[in-house]
Amino acid sequence: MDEDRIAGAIDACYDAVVEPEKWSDALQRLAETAGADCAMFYPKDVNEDAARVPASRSYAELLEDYVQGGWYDNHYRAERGWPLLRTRRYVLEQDLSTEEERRKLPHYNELYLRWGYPGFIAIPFVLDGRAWCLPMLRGRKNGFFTHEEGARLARFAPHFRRMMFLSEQFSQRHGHGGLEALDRIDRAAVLIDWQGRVKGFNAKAQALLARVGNALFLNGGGHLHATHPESESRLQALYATLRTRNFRDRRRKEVAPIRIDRSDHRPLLVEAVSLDGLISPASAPAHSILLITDLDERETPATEHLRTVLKLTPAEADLCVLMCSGMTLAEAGDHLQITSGTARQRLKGIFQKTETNRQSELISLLSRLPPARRN
Amino acid sequence: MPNGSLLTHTDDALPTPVAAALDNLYHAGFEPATWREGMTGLCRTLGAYGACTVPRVAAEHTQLLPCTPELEELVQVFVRDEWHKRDLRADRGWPLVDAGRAVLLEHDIVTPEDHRREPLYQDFYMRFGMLWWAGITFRSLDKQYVVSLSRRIGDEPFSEHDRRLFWCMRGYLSRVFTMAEHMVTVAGKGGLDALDAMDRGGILVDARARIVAMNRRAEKMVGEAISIVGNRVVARHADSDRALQKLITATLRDGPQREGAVMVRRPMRRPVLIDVLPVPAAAGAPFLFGKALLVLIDLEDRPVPKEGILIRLFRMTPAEAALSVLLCSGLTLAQASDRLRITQGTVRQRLKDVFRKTDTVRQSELISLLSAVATRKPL
Repeated sequence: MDEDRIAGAIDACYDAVVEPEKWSDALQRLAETAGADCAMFYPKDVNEDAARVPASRSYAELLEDYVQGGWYDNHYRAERGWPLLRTRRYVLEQDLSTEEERRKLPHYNELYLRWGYPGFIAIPFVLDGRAWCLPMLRGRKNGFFTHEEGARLARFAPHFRRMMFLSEQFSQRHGHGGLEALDRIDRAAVLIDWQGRVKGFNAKAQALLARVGNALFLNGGGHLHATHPESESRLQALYATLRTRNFRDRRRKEVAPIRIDRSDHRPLLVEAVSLDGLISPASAPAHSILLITDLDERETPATEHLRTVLKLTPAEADLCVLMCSGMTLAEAGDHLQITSGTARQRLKGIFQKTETNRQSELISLLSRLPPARRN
Repeated sequence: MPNGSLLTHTDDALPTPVAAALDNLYHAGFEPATWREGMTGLCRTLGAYGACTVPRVAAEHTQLLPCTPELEELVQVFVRDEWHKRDLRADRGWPLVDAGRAVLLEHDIVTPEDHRREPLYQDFYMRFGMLWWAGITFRSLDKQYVVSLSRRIGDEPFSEHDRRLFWCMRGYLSRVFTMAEHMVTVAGKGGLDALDAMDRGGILVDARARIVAMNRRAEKMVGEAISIVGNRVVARHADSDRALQKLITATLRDGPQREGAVMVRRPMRRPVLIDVLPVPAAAGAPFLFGKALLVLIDLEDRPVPKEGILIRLFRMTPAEAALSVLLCSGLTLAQASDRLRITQGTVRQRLKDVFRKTDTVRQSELISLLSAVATRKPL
């Protein structure tokens, strides 16, 4: 176990924090410098989501087997290991089973030995109150890990914790960056984790939720729920779909948007957006962003904004705003107390400046303008 | 010594309080309030009175970088009175660093005579009661920094023992800064991804307006509304470009601007609207690794709602949804009925049904409503 080589592998892992697609190689490198065959990060009770946390390449196949075969159930390593990991700096296979037991334990023989990994070590760390470890497997050639090796690897535990901590931070920042950009283009958006818990929302979402509390609300546990039962089941189905989405599958699968009913109002639309970078190994599957659209709320652009951005005159801006709220030219003209000739002339000016030819195009264009600054 | 082991000393190579203080810096996340705490904690463990961070290039940015409260005023005066342009320590120190000495102490670069004679000491440091110094230099991405530790007149100067400890800390400081910079970029990239998902162009630029990253939608606009010149975004229309550069510079310097959004004209097609926002978009607050996000909206795009959404959202029939989409695309009712090959009577009835289901009474209202669910992405 060459210290410099481990140092290089640790650096590669920190690089993977910034670029998650590098985890597979980085952990492979870490495993090799420790004389192991595979390494991964394993949060307690990750269970069927085990295929989603960062793992070295050679762990990937075993993990699929692990998940599909339900091997996380009644797993002696978990049952015996987690209590030990609370107090020790490392745990070896020899701490978890006797030679006698190893001859008979199904997990050991039918899973690990079958894949060719008799040796095992786990380095524990705690992140936000949740227990984690870095397990490594070793093949027959090098056999079991020794206590000396355990002690040396355990010295790197602070780095492992830091890596997962930073991963989570990055994922949060990425998500919040998304929320802010969406706020800027006037979309209410909410960041949720793999369990559907709300991790953040932008200003527009906050305002919206304050308004539609009788139809869509945040409960004590941090989940969004709908009041109307059918809407609620649609929402739950959406969460379930998001949860099963594989974060390694980079092709974004389209998730259908859903309707949330509101009494005496137009419904809300909730759509899930998946962002490529929203991979948080620290909380297993990907976060998602939910866009919420309130169809009753359509902000007409501020006239001042139309003047600065589209260079409309005050008179043109006034007319523009009225027409975008749905009035016909005649109605708008009446409202502004101008003749129909003046109204038509003004509209020509607007069309010219916005390079549109008809009202529908104008409305469409205005809906795409960024909202006025809320300084 | 190879970079690898420099960056990865195990925590137990450091005294526990120092390791804990450094760990705290990671958690500080470079929020100004928490980094002040983090630096204070670090100074306590090192027996320093205060600390500030000075970049090798653009030393005026010292004000934006981690600093303990005790030195805040000093740092402000340092920049205001342009001491950073006649910084004896920097002038003498950096060459030594280049020659291989990463941690410097006071006596490496100044003599007691200098203390008596140099304005930097007589008129600046000593006025604040500061004298002894240690500089821990490190690299982060493409920049060099020094964490300057201070002790007061009357304190003991930093020792060789201190120097050895400081040397072990460099790797951590380097990584803390690198991670902080990446975090800002990552926030910007989140913005790019979100904009891409909403079919808007996004370009992330650094403190000097150079392009860091672009999303797919923005790439499509290159060569048309905008160009890339010297790794910077340039509007192809001259007047628009003047306004754009002004907006970018002002945003990077001062935060979000009231006069937002620049219209970039282009031949044959509707303009592209470019909006600039700082990342992280904390209104008015100075930010550390100055980056900004350009939002590009192509006004040529005619977003139309997806029929599937209309069906689900308003319980429309496929036929009603199809009509709605055509009207949003700019067709008149007559043109829509032609396209759908239905009679005037049928189309009027269908429109009535659409009005009823969307709770609207006229076409302009309908279009205004549906533009809220419109997206340009193809089905």
